[in-house]
Parts: sequence; C-alpha cells; structure tokens
Amino acid sequence: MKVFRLIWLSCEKATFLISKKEEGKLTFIESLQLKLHLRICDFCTRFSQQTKFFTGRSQHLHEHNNAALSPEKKQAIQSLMKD
Amino acid sequence: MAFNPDQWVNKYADALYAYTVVRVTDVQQAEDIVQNTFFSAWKARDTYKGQASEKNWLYAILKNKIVDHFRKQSTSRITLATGEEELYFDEGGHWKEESKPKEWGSNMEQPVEAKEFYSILEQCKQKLKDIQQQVFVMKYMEDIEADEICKYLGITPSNYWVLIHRAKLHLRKCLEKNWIGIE
Repeated sequence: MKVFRLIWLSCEKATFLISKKEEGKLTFIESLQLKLHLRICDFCTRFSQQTKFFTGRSQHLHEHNNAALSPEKKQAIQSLMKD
Repeated sequence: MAFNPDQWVNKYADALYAYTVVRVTDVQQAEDIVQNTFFSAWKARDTYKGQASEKNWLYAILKNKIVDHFRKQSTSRITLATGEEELYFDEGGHWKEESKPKEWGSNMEQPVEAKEFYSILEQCKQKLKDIQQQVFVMKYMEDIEADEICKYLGITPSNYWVLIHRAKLHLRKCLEKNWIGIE
C-alpha cells in the first residue's frame, strides 16, 4: 500500500507533469510516477499526444495566416527609413 | 549577399507582420512592432556584417521586439486566479466526465484541411488569457526555455507551470470542440 501511495498520481498532476517533462525537470520519482500513470490511463495518454500535436505545429501558425499590412502603413514605414 | 534596405518593406513587411500578429494578437501592437523592427534595422544597417541573410537578420530583430513587448506588458506581481483546473478535474484530480479527452483519430495524421486547423488553433489561442498566451507563444512558438521565460515575464517557475498547464487544457478542449467537432 505504501508503494502504491508513492507512485500514485492524479490525472491533474499527471497532465501537469507532462509539460515539466518536456523541459527535463522531472525528479526521478515524478518521472516514474508519470510513466506508470500513462501506462494505465488512456485519457492522459490522449492528452499527452494531442497537446504534443498542436504545440508542435503552433510555430507554423503564421505560415497559414494571410494577414498583410495596408499600403498606407507600408508607405508610412518606408518614409521613416530615410536620413 | 543581397542587402537592400530600400527593398525591405516591399519584400518582407507582410511576412513579418503575419509572423507578429499570430504571436501578439493585437493588430495595432503588431503593426507597431513591425514598424519598430524596420526602423531599428535601418538605423543599424551599418552594423550588418553578412553572417546571416538579410531576411534572418530582420527576423532576429523582430523576435527580440516581440519578446520585449511581452516583457513590457508583464506586470511583475502576478497573482493567479484559482480554480481554472476545476473545469476539467474533480476534487480528487480525476478527469470530469465531460472533460475526458476524446479520441481524435485520423485527424492527427496529417490534417487534410491544414488551413482550417491553423485558423481554429489561432482562434483558440486568442481566447486564452493574455499571460497564458504569452507563455504559450514564448515556449512553443519562440522555443525559449522555461527559465528564460520566467525571467522575461517576472514570474516564478511554479506559476509558469500552472500557466502552461492551463493553456494546454484550454487549447486542447477548444480544438476538440471546434476542430474535431465533439462537444
């Protein structure tokens, strides 16, 4: 029972630790706890895969955005670039 | 290597602006940041040594301006409201029934409608609180390390982890609802 208490994690804590893991900041116990939790919990495993999916793609957000500066704004910027 | 300040606005203004607006969200502030970037670059044009392409050089200046913008926006004493996690977890820390992550299935394999995915991701990101957006952008869009982010924003590591956790919980739920289409 003692061992169980030591390695048991709630889903809230497990999802929290997933981010910490990315940064390599888990203690030995935490990393063991998380590994075991993910082995038995489908929901947190999904959370882990899905968050990885969109965080990994978020740096490409601007490549899919057609935002453009107005010609007036461009002209205004251009006019600043003079001696 | 080509270095033509006269052509910068023509060649890079829209790309720099798109890069900025998805990160800082506010249109006016994004315009100002792009303008400041060109102006700083132009003033520093004599220091350009050609180690980087002119495009990468401009992006480096822009990225600094974006982080600087977040730094200026951050109020040093952040008190986090409690209870956002309660939307997803019960008192025991278990997923609430309605919040359990659903299967995303084939959507996770190379999205067919990439454009749709990215536009929904952007909308979901905009719904986050400012400070959550800032840590999300710095960590996942600018690839800055947690320690650095804490320094820039004047927040403690423990607050940082809470903010990242909440940002992910909200974004995941929002994407599941609006992109996957499961309420």
